[in-house]
Amino acid sequence: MLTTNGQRESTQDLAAKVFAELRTLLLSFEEGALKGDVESIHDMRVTTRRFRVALSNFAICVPQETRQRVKTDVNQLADTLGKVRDIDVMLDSLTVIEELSPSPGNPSSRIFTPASRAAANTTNRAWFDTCEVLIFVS
Amino acid sequence: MAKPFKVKKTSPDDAAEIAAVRILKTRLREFYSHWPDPDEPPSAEQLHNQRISGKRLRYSAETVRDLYPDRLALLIDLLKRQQDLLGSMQDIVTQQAMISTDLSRRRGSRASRTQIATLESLLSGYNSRHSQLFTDLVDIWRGMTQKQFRDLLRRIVSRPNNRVKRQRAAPDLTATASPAPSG
Repeated sequence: MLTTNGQRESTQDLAAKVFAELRTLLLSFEEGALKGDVESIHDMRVTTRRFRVALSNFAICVPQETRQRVKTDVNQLADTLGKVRDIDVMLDSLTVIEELSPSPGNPSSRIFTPASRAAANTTNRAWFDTCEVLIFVS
Repeated sequence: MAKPFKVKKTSPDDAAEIAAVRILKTRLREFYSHWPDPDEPPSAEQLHNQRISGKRLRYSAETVRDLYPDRLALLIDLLKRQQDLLGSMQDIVTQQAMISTDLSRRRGSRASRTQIATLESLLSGYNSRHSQLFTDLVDIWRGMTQKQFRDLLRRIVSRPNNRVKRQRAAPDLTATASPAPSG
């Protein structure tokens, strides 16, 4: 493969391209995720996994200290997105249960209220303000 | 969760194709390491690790697919299929756990027989579905562990399309023609 200036693409070139694409993808889901959109949260979570795989594949191209910092940030984002995603999955499952066996006093559906989902999503917003990974690939 | 295998013998200055080969070979080795024998029932941990490694392999293949024009599509599609099955199985396991908890609570609080029967029926349905998904998974995995298939994968990942168009040197129009032989 050749780069845009006709030079043979190196591993470093490929790594830079991959991280730049992942950064763009991550940012594309920011607005939706911060609004709490289920699909954006899921897609962003998948992108964090791709980021971690890329960090592992191209470890040789990233200084260890930088790699560790970026990995910590990505893991933190994945964890907070995961909490919101878990609540969404639970809500779907509880809906199935309630439809099959409705009960006015069913406490299950009160466990995962919109408030607890919103609290998990607030952490996502704080992450974007300080994210190392967005600086790393710029 | 099993850690990813390290990609070795690469350098930032190597051609991208060399890195692609190393990455895919490493991820393939990792992917096949968790459940080596499809005739042996895997543990939950083996399945989980294989699911994670399968995603690593698929993401890696998608990253370098431009270096293998149209040649990684089969692998990526198979991995997606396998991961969809594993994902559905995991969803069922999660929902079974939740329903079992709810069922225990209802039994303890003397809920109506209808409610209990409904939840028991739901659990039974999930068990059947899980069995069917597992059968499908084993079928796919048997195919992917066949020696011919693995050899084919190795050949594919070892040969990215690394043909570089070399520009031919322009002919030198100023060179004088050699004299015709006498005689």
